[in-house]
Amino acid sequence: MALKRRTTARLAAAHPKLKAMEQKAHTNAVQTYIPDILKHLTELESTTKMNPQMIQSQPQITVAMRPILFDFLMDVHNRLKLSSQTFFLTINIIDRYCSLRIVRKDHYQLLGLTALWLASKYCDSKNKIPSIEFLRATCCHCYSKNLFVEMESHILKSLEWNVGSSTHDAFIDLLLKENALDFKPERVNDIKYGANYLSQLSQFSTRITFNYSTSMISIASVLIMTNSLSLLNDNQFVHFNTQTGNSFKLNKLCALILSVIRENPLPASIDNKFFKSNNDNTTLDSIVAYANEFRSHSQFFSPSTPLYNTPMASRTSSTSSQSSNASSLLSKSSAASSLMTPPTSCTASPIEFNAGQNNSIDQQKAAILPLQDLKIQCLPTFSSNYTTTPQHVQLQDIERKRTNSWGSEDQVKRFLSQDNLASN
Amino acid sequence: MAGQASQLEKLGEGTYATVYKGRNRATGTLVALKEINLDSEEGTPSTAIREISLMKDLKHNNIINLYDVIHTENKLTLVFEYLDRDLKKYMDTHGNNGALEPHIVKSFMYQLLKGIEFCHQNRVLHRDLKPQNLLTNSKGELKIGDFGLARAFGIPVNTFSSEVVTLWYRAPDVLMGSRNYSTSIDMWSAGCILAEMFIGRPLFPGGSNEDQLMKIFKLMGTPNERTWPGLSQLPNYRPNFNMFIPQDLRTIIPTIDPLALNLLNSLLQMKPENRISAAQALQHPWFSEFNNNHIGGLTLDPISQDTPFQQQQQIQTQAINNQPPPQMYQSVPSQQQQQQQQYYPN
Repeated sequence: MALKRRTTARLAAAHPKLKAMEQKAHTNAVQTYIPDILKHLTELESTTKMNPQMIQSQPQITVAMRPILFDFLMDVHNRLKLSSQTFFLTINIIDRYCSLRIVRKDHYQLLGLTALWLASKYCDSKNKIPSIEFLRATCCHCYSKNLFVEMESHILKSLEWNVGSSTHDAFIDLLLKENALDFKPERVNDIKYGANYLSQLSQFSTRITFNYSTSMISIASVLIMTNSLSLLNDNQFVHFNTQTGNSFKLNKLCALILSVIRENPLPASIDNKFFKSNNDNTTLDSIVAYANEFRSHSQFFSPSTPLYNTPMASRTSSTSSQSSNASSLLSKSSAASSLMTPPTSCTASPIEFNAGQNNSIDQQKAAILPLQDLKIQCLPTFSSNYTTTPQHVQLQDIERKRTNSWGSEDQVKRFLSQDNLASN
Repeated sequence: MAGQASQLEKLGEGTYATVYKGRNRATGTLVALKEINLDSEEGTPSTAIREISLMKDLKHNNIINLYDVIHTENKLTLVFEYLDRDLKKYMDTHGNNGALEPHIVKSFMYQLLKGIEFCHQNRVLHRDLKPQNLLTNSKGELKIGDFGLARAFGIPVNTFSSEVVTLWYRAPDVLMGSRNYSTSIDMWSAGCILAEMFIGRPLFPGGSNEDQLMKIFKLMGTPNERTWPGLSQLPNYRPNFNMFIPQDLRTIIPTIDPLALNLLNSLLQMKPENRISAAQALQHPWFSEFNNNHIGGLTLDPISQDTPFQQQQQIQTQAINNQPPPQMYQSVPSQQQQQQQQYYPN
């Protein structure tokens, strides 16, 4: 009886109209704090970063083992129906732990499961947290109960109890709330779903996660998803580099994610979660369509054009010259890091890349919408174009901490916001 | 206690922890020790993981400071800043039948809102605000404690139990079965606490979920589709709710001044979207003496020794000159200055 009542209550709570209403209430309530929360998340991001060098120098575990472990964890995660935040946090915990301690090969799976356990304790409601018995069963009882408890306390001590981290889903949610991006409001849920999928998929690629921060991956996922949906529904190809505010790194990341989509087979767990259990895949299929469209565009034009944002004059000459494939250029991405200085004159005009299509001026304007409006200039790794801004933000932080005694804080904030306006 | 702190007396016992008063052996300062027994079945409790991880980030004047975590094999001890008493006890001993002086209410409320604002800025929902969880000291400071039910929100928090927040301080939308709630639930609790400080007893001392809703409706009026669109979609909605007309809050708090009444009304909004946020509440005219810079009438009693007035003045003049405060410049002094320093050592 009680169970029945609970199920009906749950069904009622899942009512789409009700959900939309609650979502609206939440948005209203949080609107005031978006800049603060975004700043907090970026700060948290910088303190909960992994160290790729340390992970690569692990004596027993190799980078190639990562996707296998993640695939397994994703399966467990699916079975327990945990939140996507839990998955991101699990991987963050594993990476941070591997950046600090040497992990034995036979304990890698134990680490993964314990990280999942910890993450679900942090993110999920009480009745979803798996028991030790369940976790033991997933790995054929090869680890004892005590090992799990011991591993947990070891992880907590190593991370100095800083379990929480800024996860992709939080960034995606905030980016979509900011409403600075040009997307149709009715597509918010599709974009969120697709961007979450892209971010989860990105976790499996070390080329992405070792080189790019959480916030970057989230932004790239949202951008790709927005453009994929407009390709699907409006049949318009919008090149992402018209929206990235000429951030070279972000352009490269978007291209990298698209090449991963196009070339790599999906991990089995991702395939299960997003495709096999789902009949309507139009949303996610649009990404593949977009990836292919992007490829044909970058082949048609010189690959250096979208990637390096060369000024007009040199671009016209480079179209005639022998051009290499965009994806082959990307595979050399780590070697090309020395080339990563963004151009000083950023005059990339979208008409260059949409030459084959008849784009109206209005649409181009919408597409150019710079990411500055997203207020992501405070992201530390966002773009070297904005080197002055992060420093500014840091100073603000210091300032705010110093004058933290109550009463004066508002004054500081007001003062700083004036200052900000002046500098912008 | 591994020699770091000595245990004095028991302060209280919660569902998953026992709190002792303690003394730091090295410095002699008083601390509160929260001891949590570790279960070999389920490892570290999720409440402890959240509380520690969240509180390590929350360093604010109006939030209890977590000094240290002592982690042994079967016990976890959290070392907190010690404050004399909680707000409930303060009201019982200092108040007139529990009711506090208006200027003390104002000071406490301002500090409470400051603490809540900081939590929300750092995307933390406290979810269990009540006088027992607010701690005060003889300096008149108020700090938020017990983050056992707190959690980080990025997306709307989705719980499958509405069993958050002690019943008396639970928001009507949560009572009606809404499971996606947000910063607004802390604001309802803040409103209940504000009223309680004025009248000296809980505003809505309900006995059950239904009773709690009825107590709220009796005072604030029964909501309907017109005052709260979408109300009938909520799981616990009944079409046959007793109808009540909203009462004037002055009937139960006769002494309240109009500005405070206005703030209370903005906090005790039935519909979560209409509830004022902590940041907005701090800008409320009732707090003008804390927010404005004018010299007259700045009595922050009983927290006068912490008056941030000088800092305010400093910042204000800097803002006028449109120059950053001096702390922002820690760079190398200019050549001229260096020369001057050579000529005039000290």
